[in-house]
Amino acid sequence: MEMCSREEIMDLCPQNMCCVIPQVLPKQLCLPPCSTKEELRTILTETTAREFSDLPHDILMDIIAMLEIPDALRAASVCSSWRSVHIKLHNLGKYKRPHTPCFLYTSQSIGENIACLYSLAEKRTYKLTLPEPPISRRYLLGSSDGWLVTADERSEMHILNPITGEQIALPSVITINQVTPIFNRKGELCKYRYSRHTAEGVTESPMTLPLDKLRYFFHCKAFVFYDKFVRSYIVVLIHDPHKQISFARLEHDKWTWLPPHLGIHDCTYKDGLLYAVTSFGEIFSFDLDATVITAKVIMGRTKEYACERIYIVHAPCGDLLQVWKPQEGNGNWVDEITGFPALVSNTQNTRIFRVDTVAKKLVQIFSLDDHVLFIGNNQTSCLGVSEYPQLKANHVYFTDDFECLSSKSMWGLRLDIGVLNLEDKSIDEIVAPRLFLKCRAPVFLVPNPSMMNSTLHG
Amino acid sequence: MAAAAAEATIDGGGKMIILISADGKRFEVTEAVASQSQLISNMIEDDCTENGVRLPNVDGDILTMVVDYCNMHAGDAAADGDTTKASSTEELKKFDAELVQALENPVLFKLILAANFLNIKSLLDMTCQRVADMMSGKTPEQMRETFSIENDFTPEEEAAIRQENAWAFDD
Repeated sequence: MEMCSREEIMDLCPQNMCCVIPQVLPKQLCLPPCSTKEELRTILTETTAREFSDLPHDILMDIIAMLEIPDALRAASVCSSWRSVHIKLHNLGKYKRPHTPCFLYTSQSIGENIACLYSLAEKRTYKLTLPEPPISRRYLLGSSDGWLVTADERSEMHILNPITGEQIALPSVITINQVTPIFNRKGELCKYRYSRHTAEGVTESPMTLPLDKLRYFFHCKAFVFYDKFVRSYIVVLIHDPHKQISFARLEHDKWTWLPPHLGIHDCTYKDGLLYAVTSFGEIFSFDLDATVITAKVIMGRTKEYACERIYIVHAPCGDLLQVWKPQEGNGNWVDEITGFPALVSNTQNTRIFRVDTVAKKLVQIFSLDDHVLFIGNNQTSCLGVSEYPQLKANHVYFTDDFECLSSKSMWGLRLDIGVLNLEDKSIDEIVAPRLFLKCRAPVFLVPNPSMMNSTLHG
Repeated sequence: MAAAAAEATIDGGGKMIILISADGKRFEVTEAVASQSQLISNMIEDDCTENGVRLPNVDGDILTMVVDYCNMHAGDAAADGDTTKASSTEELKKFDAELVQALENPVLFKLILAANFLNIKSLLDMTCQRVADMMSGKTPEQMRETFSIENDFTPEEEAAIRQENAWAFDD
């Protein structure tokens, strides 16, 4: 846009004309109303930017807010003007939407402290160096809102944001009802005693386990939820025996057991309520802020046999969905690529249901239309492709959450990972070739550039 | 100033508004078309458009594109009204895609400023998305080249900035 001289500006505003500048422009630019022509001239000059580096900062911020995180970080190193906009965006946290999910995996052969982040949007891999303890030796228990939940070689848990490197240790595992520490003569923690009981009583004899083995038998899946009413984060852990729930608030020093529910497969959180689904399709909701936490039955038992992996998620429209993924079957199948033995995947027979909470029944749906699902060890999510154009509509992205996943990778069994097309039931690779062949459970992660402190105090 | 023209009405009874670009080009559009600009919509409410609306920082070429865009999208705003005029969603998508794809840098830049100034949210979103698409997958050097931006960091500053998030620069 050309610069205007003073005369031109005066000419723009003859008495009989409706001139938009003095009334509106200052408001648009968030400037105080101008009274003199000199001030007006300044404003006009400021808006006559010629270069992209001179775009008004609020517009530039909107543009950078549309980018995936790596693009935004690269844009921030283009010039000082773009950098200052990025810093402002970061501080305000005004991103347009959560970022496109990535596929995160680790492998000791890549590097002990390195996590690989495969961007589904960019179709390329980034390598993130993460804080101790080494990520490749941890179990990935879950992924919610950009946070991984991990169990280290002492079976202790952390939440970790791989994008910011922010990490917080969770209350010790010995504060969970079923776990007690065993100390040696020197008073050092050497083993855990794992009491296999539920609210109904002891189900099997207790186990004494080395520090790194507890996680193998005890931890199942974990979630991080933000409780906006109390302005704090809650971590929910599904653990054995019989897939019960315990939860902890970040500012607390211990876990709280939530009996008597068993067979919990998946959890989600909405409007201050925790929703949990069992292997029989039952859905309970809990208000974790209540003084006495009680379960409300949203849906009774809908399955006779607990033979599938069940997931629960709120669709963007607000509907509650249940997803049933069949377990893998035994077989003498050999993976064509690796020559390794493999279990027979039945993932193509995954079924999806809308939960009719009024009629208390499930209604099977055969198409997600313009939506996609992410299932696995991550918090289950359902996204609309209009906001995430790089994702494939009516597809289910899945990673392996086989119960004994560690043994699976130990035995070199093929991990059940891919993208299921719900229309023709075909399955594609997420990333080929499979670089994560012998690694621990990969998870989907929604990159989140915000620091936790800014969420808590923002 | 042709007051008669400015107050002319089309057969349907909608009032016409005259938009005047920085270089004096005049565009006669219906209120429905012009109202997609929140700026002009506010002016219509305040009843101060009868002598035409001067837009001193929008060139005629750019205003032509803006008016084309608003004409195409007038159907959106008045979906319940004259359905014969409402363009189909498919047509609109095609029109929008062709419009943004064809834009050269200086024009795209001016169109963003015009959309911002006139406060036409859908056009602003679309043009900003185009810039975001042009940035995605590029290295900082390629972004500078694409948008003709000068690197005003010292080599030390730039190295330090890259080091903060080295993973994103890993090629």
